[in-house]
Amino acid sequence: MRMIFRRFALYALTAWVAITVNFILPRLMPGNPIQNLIGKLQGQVTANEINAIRLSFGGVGSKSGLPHQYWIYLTQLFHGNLGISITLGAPVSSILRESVPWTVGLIGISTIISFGVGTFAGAILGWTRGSRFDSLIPTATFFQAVPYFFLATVMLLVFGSDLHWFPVLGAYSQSVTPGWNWTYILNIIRYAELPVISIVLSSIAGWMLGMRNMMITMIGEDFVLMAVAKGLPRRKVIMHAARNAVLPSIANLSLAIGLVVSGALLVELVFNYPGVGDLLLQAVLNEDYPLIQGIFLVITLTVLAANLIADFIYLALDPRTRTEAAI
Amino acid sequence: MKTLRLPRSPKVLLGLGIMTFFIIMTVIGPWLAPDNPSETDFLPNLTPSWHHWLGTTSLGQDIFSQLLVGARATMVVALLAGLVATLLAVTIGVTAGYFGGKTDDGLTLLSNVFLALPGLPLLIVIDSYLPVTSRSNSFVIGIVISLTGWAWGARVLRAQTMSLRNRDFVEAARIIGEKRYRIMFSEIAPNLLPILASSLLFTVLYAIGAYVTLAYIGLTSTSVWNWGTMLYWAQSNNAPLSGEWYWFVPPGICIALVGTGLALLNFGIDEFINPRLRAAGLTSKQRRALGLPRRTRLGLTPVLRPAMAKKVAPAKLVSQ
Amino acid sequence: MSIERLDTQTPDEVHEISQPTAVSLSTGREFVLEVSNFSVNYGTGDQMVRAVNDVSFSLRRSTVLGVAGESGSGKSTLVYAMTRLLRAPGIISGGVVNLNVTASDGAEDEILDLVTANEKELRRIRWSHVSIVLQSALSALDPVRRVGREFDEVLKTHRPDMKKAERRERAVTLLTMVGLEKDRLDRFPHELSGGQRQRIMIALALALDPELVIMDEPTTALDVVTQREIINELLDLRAQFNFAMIFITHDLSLLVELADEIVVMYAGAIVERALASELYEAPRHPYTLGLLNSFPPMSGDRRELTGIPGSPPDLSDLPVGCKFSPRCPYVMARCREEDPHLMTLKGSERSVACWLHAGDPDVRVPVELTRQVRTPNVHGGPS
Repeated sequence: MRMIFRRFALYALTAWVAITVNFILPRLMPGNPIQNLIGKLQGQVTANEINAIRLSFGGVGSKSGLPHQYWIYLTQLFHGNLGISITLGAPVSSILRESVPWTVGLIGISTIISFGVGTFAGAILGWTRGSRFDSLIPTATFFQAVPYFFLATVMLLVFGSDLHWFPVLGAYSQSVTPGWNWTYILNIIRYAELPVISIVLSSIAGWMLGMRNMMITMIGEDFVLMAVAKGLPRRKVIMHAARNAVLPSIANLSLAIGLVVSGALLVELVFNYPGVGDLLLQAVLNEDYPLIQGIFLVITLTVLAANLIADFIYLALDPRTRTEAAI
Repeated sequence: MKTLRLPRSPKVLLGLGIMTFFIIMTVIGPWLAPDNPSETDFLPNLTPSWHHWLGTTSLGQDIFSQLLVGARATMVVALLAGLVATLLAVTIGVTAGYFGGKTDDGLTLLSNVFLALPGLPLLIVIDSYLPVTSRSNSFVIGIVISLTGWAWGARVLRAQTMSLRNRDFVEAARIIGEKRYRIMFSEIAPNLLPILASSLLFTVLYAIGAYVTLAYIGLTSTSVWNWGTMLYWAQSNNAPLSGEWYWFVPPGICIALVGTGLALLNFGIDEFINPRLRAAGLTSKQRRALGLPRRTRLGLTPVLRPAMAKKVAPAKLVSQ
Repeated sequence: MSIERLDTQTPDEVHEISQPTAVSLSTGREFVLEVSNFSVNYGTGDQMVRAVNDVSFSLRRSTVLGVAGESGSGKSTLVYAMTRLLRAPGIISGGVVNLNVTASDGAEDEILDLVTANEKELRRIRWSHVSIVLQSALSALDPVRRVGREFDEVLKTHRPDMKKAERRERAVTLLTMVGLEKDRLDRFPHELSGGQRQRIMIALALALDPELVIMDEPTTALDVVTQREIINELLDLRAQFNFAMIFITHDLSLLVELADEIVVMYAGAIVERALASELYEAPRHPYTLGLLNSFPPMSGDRRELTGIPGSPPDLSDLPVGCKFSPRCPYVMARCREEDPHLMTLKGSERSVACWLHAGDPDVRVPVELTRQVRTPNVHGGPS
């Protein structure tokens, strides 16, 4: 259990770093970006909102010193004040509240599918090494090397526009009313298919190859030979090897999630999915710092939460971590 | 140390081939380019033809020239970022692994934090705050990218250093009284080379992706030609939906090929590091000729066909 | 005759050339395992190495066969290949390995040639009729499974009629047999000591009451005290369960008390085979003598430890003639030209592959290789 506490502490620390980065960066860069920002907003938003922005950055313009500003920043943050977005003229927190679930859903489903199918395929590849399945490897590697957004674009064009196999643009059809009804849900799934496939194709090679290599290593271990010597059916022998081989993949989930998130944001862009991807692009174009920072923060926290879950799973699966202090 | 054998694995050879091709493109690309990529001289939106191998953009620029010139920035920045990141990784990782204790704890914490922070969002935040003048400086972009990509390599190198540190030959050097930095350089470093190479390849792969993505979003200077910028312009001019595949497909394919080349090379190194991954022995044709199954299954040691057994026997025993 | 008289003996009186030892394949219940002309290579083509060269032996029911030799002698390769568990690039190049499979329901015994058996047949006899204790028992247990599940798994596979509670009970019984508490069943392998893990491996090997148990250097990685305990337990278990055992080791002294018969291997071939006591007290092959001289005796006069000069053979570059000739203190011209085959010594069931004992009258056999086994009724005095 100490392990969990340590990991949690690590993530808490990382979250703090992210929060502080958001605080420090605007003050670090030349050209006083915050004042510029406020200047841009004059006349577009109410005085209250200007004040909210000021506070979200920690009370810029006030006479108080840096530590005090930091304190204000933190308290504002905990009250949910992430500033006002220039592009949309609305509080960042409400904007995010609407888009983040779409992103999390998309990335979550994609990662689960990618991990599941990838490690399964990797296990088979490792076990049947030397067979014709090996030709999958260069193919998957190629897809992995293609930038996420590029693959998404190609898929959009080929399967969406040209072949009309999949619907494009958006998370659900305009004609369907949102709500907890079956049509809506099915519709969501339908619209999510192409983006999910795109993300899965781009990320699956990593899982596949990692699992394959670990599987090959495990097969060389004595306990797998032992399973064969016991006369166990082939399926059980593979399970012995696979159960051990999958552990490093889970441990690497944290790194992988970071990469998948980055790619997925762009895929959203291409497919016009109502997640944070498109928001991010707009924000960058308009130098909408509150929105950019808000997205960064929320994404970071989500990724950290996912990491924590992955760590839990790892601890549950590897008994060796329970007794010794792990690295 | 060990004799360098030319790699026989087709994967590795393919990877080497691809990388050689693109390195050549990086070096002589700009000279080979028929036109200045920024020149808007030509008729816009031309499809590929003899004059313009890849057609022209909506602004009348030659796409082929853009591709050739763009190779340089893309590859160089990626390589630069990769090198800096690997340098950081080595410094932090090896120090942490070798010295242990509080140093290790602190540095590990640092790496873990950077590892947990998602790379692209962080990159975007930092980059968006950079003044435009800095953004056109590829060097700065490269450094920023490397700041987000060193943590993984550091962790791997630390683990390797730790396992090496406890090995006998290092212990022996320590007993003799070798200075610590000397031990690090002459004993540990050579054994880290394969992992280092793998880490470098992996980091360059990451850097190319990061750089291209930043360019695609528009966070790098649009005056520096690279493959990501090409995609940016293509996207903003709606090239995909207009069917102008010759604009946005070539840069994407090039990026993918470079990435694949790097990954294939990485395979080669993986196989070198972990002997178990190396393909053992015979081709399937040879195996079939000997009566062996296509692949050796665990628990089913293969048996030579009796006729073949005589052929492959070594000098016969002299018997009464 | 007492030992002191032997230096006057000439070879003729004691030995005689006989046919190269051929194993007659019998179908009687007497033998549980019969191996004939078994050979194993590593690799093929010009990279090939002969790891096991034309080995033949048979194992009687409920007896212990010790296999001794240096690393690289082929002893491990032999037993793994025999059971088709040898990893790539090992290839069996010839021979027959007949396992006498006792039917559980009292029906007729069946002879199964392991070399030609298919996967299904192998799976059937694995563990239930032949079990193996791997060399590194320390890593032979699945790190993510509790020990109890290893037992449960193997019982479930081969005895599908057993209920869960019965399987658990059997596991507990087996643990008790090797002197472990039943709470060990709920532990993970990394929570146990080396000795405990080894005991579990042994208990596991006996789970289905097999006719043959193969032990590949089970005590090599353990300290001497634990080693002794385990050997004692093995002796007890043998007395209880009457299984046949093949025990591989490089430590000849262990085999003397444990084994009924001992086979000494060198460079992939058997160079000597004899009853344990015979081998220990009256070795015939120079290599065996060398091995015995490498261990100081617990009692008796102090003598010089000689060991064996030279280094273990390179299997890819073996000499013509006797493979031991480069290191043999008694080497003759013939040894360098012709490779001796295994020859049965007259008047006994021993065999040895050495030209010294081929019955050539011009050959003076060294005293050390002509000792006789002390029979219990000898009191000394004139013969």
